[in-house]
Amino acid sequence: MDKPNSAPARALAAAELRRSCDPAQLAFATSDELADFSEALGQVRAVEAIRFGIGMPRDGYNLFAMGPEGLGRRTIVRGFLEQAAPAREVPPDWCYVFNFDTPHKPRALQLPAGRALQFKQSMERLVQDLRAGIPAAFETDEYRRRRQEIEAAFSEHQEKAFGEIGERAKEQGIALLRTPSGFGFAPMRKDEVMSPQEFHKLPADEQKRLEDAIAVLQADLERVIQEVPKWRREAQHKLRELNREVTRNAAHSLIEELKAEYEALPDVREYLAALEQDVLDHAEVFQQPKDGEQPTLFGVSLAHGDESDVTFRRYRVNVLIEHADAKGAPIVYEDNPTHDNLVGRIEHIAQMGTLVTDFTLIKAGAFHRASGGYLVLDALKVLTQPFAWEALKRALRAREIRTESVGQMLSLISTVSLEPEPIPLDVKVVLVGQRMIYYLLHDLDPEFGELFKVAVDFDEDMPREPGSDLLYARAVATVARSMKLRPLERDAVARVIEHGARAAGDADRVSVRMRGLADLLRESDYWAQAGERKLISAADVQRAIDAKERRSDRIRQRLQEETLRGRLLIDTSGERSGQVNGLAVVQLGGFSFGSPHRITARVRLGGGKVIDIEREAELGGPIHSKGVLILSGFLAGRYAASKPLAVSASLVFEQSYGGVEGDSASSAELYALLSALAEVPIRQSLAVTGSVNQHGDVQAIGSVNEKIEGFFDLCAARGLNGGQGVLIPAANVNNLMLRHEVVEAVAAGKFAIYPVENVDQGIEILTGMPAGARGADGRFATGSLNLRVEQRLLEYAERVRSFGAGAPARGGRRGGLQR
Amino acid sequence: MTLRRIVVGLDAGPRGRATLQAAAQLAARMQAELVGLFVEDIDLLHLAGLPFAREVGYPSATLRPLDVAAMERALRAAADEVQRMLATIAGRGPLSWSFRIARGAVLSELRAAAADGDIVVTCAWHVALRAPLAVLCSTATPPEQVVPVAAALGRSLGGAVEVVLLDGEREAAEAWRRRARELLAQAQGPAQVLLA
Repeated sequence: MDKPNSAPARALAAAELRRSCDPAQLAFATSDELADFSEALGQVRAVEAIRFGIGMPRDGYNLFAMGPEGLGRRTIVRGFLEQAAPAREVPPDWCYVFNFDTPHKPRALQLPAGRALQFKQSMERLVQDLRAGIPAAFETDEYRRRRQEIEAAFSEHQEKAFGEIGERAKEQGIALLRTPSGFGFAPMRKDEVMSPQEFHKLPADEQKRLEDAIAVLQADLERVIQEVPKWRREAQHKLRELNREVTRNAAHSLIEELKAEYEALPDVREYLAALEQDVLDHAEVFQQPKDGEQPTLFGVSLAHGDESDVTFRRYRVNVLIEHADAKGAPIVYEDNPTHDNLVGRIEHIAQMGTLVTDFTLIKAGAFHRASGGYLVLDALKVLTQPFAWEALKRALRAREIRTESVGQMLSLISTVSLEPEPIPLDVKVVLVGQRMIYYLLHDLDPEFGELFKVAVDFDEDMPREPGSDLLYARAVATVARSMKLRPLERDAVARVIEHGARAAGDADRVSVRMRGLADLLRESDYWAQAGERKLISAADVQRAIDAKERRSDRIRQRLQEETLRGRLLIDTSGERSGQVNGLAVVQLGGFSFGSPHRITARVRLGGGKVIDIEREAELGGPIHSKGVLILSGFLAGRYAASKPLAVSASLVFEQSYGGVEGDSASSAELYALLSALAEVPIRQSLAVTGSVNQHGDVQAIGSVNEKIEGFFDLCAARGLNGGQGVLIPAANVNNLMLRHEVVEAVAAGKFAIYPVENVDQGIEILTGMPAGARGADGRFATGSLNLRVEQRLLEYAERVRSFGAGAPARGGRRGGLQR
Repeated sequence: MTLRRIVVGLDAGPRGRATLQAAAQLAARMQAELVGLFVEDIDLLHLAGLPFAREVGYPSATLRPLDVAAMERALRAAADEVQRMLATIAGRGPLSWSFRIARGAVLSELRAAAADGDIVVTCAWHVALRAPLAVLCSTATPPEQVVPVAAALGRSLGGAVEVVLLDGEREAAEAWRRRARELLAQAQGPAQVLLA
């Protein structure tokens, strides 16, 4: 059952329309006297979460700072990170160096913080020393002599073997001849080779002997020649050993010196040992003439741009990340979190039309820079960059940074590229984003909850409690000082606090959106400057508020103009049944304002259905439709519990072309409906807001201040007649933070705000007729509006019954008119 | 007493090329004429004319049959090659040069060239028995001309040079050698010159 009729609603007093901030309570003259307020204003929950998240060393305790834009989430988080970072130790430096075993997998070397650059310089010096020292070692007389020995031994061996065969041939009267491409044997006469004619003159026996002897010699010579490559290999081997030995003598002491310098770093020592072997294997590289010709292909230089010597790139050190001047852990904010900007990238250089790369072209990403510290990212940006979110999760899960291109990751590119050794990752990630993103990720990504365990939920406002005004004042002073603005007078601070409460849409709360506050202070400062004042006054603050509103209110003004010109039909005086002023809120580009709308209802005999024309025209949203459906429930429950509800009603927002959503007009719609049913006119000098439930209770709505002011502005433009006002849900009284003009008009008795708890209170104000409660007999009081409504519905039900009785042959249809 | 001519026994191999380069530089410096001499070795043609003529390839160690026509072609090709080489190397500087081909025994042809009072430089194995390079001359060419040439060649090629004196009258040859030794003893630098 619906509630019994309650006491009539009283209009609110002016003092209840706005909770002013009394400057007398603020114990300072200007904001300069106030100490800085370094904490996060009104963010107790968020601050606890940040402290916990930063302090928690375990995996997965990364933070998600959520809340709407403009709260100062990044600033607050950064503030706490900056407090925590210096106490932590500086993370190590990382370098990439050549991997002598598998060149396409560069090695990662860890060095103590600040030593990477020093190592790089040491290596550069070492290469310089080797390039000077090794050729010098090869230019010594000792080396030349030993080399000649090896070469001479080889030629002696060869000549001796050939000489022996030559001697043997000579003994048999045969000469060993050098032909253009080898050797031949020919018979001799005296000291000369026998001519063919002379040979043919020889006896057949002799010819045969010579031929056989030559065949034997040829076979021997073949054997000797086959041995030659072996002797040459032996000589070359000896030469290589000699070269290694000479190189080792030149290089070993230099490398050992460096090893001693990095005694405590086994990885570096291991790298240097591998480097030494590589130097020994490639001694010839160091012997190349320095000012010789560049290697060319078809006349095009093969050298790397300004790099005169590509060969020595392999001994370079690519310092990926170094912390030479760092104090404490790093805090990195990556503004453009693309996949490559996070994990680092491998660059390529064009060489002869192809792209080539090596370990010196690996570039650090945000993970490298932030490892050992904190990384702050914008959640939306990470999610909208292709593969960035996956890369972030993979790095956090694996606790290592794997630098690879997206093409490589997806196996799209099969050309040879690098696979740098992964670098360990120890980072606390703070994602900053809207609440919606947090909830969506939680629902849709199973890994999210595992990796981001700490929700940092920022509040939009804080309660106005005793003492909180002063805290707010200190925050105002801090912001003003940090932006180098003029100090604020006490009254100005009070005005800022009131504006904060208005922004929160609640007299008992105050907005902590720091961006809005900072904007207001900057703009107030501008007006103070324009007025050549040294302090920001309350008038400057008010001017800033008004000017900002003025900049955005073109549409509001046009709507009001159209209403005043009679093109948008809104009455602010007189009476009419089935018609009421509803209040809608328009939000455009961060500016919202209230706008009155005419709502009308028509009733007729029908099947108990309330038609929402907005819904039928697909201009109404689901919540609006829900509100209208509730009206049927209310009507049926209160007036037609035991009879068919034989009414058909239609409801519409007149002259609304852009769609209606929300249920804040449902009480207005109900009043229009009741007025139409009872045929009792409604005072058009009043406007209504509030939603209603099936029992007829009026429920709270949003943006109550804007709605009231929207109607007030229209009435004021037409001239306040004292009878105008707005009905609001009683539950919204605490939200009132109205403009001074409204408060003054109410104080002067020119305008009224009625807090309404239920429909009966509302309809009484609107019609001036008692709503009426059911008596002990279950009937509504005589002369009451409710009785008229009930009678009208009863009449409809009777008519339906009589229609049904008049047409029995049409069979079995009861309880309503069929269309 | 200036040197008129330097005769180079041409050879297409790397050692032959180095010899030619060194001789060309020397000739340019001494303002002497450079004569390139290619000897078509009659011994090879004889060899190729034998019914069982074979060649053992070096370094392939394969046995190939030989015939005169092929040998003629090979010698002509070698002559063309060395002529081109000579033109290239001699053409680099202000140098007067000529090329000629002789057919006969290598040693006799080179001796014949040296007998004209010129210096013959060769790396032919028939002549240079004890060193990679030989300088061939007769007693008609004074040691004052020969020794500096041999020493300069040795220095620029970084090896030993053998000086081969053609048979002449014994006393004249002895006197020549004595004088040459004296000159060598005075000579500066690391060149290694062997007197035959």
